[in-house]
Amino acid sequence: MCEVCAVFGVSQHWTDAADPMGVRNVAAGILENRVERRKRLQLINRILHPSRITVSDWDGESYSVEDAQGRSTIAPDLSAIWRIAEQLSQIHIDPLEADFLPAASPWSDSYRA
Amino acid sequence: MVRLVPRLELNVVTGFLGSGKTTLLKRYLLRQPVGSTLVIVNEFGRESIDDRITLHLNSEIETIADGCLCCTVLGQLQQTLLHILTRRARGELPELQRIVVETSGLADPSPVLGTILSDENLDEYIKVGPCVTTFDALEGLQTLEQFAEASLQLAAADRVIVTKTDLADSANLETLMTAIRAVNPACDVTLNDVPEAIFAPVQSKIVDGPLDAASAPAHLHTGAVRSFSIVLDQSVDWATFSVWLTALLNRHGDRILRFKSVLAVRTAGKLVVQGVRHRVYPPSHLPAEENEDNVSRLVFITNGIDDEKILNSLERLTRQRRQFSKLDVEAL
Repeated sequence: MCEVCAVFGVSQHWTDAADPMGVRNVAAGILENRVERRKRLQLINRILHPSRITVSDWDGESYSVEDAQGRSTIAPDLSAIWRIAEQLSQIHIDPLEADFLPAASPWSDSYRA
Repeated sequence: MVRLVPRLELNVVTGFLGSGKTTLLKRYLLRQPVGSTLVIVNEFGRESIDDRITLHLNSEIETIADGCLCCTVLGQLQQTLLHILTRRARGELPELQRIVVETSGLADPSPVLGTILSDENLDEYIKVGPCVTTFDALEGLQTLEQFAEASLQLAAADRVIVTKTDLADSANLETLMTAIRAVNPACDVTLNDVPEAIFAPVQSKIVDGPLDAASAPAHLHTGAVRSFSIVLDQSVDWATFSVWLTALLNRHGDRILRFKSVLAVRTAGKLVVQGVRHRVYPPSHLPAEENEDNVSRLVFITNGIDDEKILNSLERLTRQRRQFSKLDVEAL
């Protein structure tokens, strides 16, 4: 299964929900699904580290967003993570700012995943 | 996820006042089986709809009046669509295959598209098809210069149908095509509409730049609306791209009128990812024969956002020296 289809089928969000090529059985690609979600989480946590926010997998379907005080909120999908992280940290998370991605880009790292 | 009921296709037809939306729809509807298409008409103000009803002949019409779809009556659109779906479920609309939403001439169509894409109930039963924008061959350029709504309508289009071409000369049409492409490089532009094919799937290809800024009309000013395309000479890592795009739309979705991309995803082949403002359509694969190269192409149409920042952001993320073509419409 390809890296895109691996995360499709879990929910209705566009990053998860489409059924390209008719692949509708996410269980068939469950290992790839886990790898893709782990890659996402590694990157998200690098981005949110300066805001003192941590994101973890919630039952393979949603995400748990937690701040330094231990307050946590469930984000149903990838888009909701940013909104919740901004609410918890009171910091704007802007990919257009130069400091959005701390340290080296994970782009090539993810190829080794 | 297996769908028990096939989704209805919904198309938005938009275009500035007098640009020929109703005429286009009439020609389309005359060629459709009775009851196969339901039209939702948005009347801005208290304009009479009697003449429109006679135009739409063999299709049922719902009207949303006294307000513009893009701002005051979005909730009404949701309710109307849910009502139609309920009637379909009851078997009252057995032949229905398509819903067409005709916006008022002053509407920004992107909130309409966003409403459907963001409503889980609607999304379950309705699939958003190509958004069609009519553009007047005679008045279009002037309209584009004077009214921001016209550029928003072009920006949202998957297909632009230039109307009244029989009244325009060929030199003017060429300028017109360039102006349309300057606002929306990713749309399909057609001069001669084939009525039954106005909602046909749009070919998901993005033509390489550079966009021809020199031949665009010198007097064209479309406010802060800008369009630019990016070409990446490497495959895209899906995890990284989806994280970046969701973060970008969270913070700047209001100002990203439209984006369309054909991405070379490492193990997925070519993938079409496109959206309107905060909303993204479900991505889809291109056929395997389209995977001839490893190049990703993205087109952004933005309003009041520094395009250099988007380019720099993507460059930082991919760690690739970018190769892009860009057209700054405002500076023309």
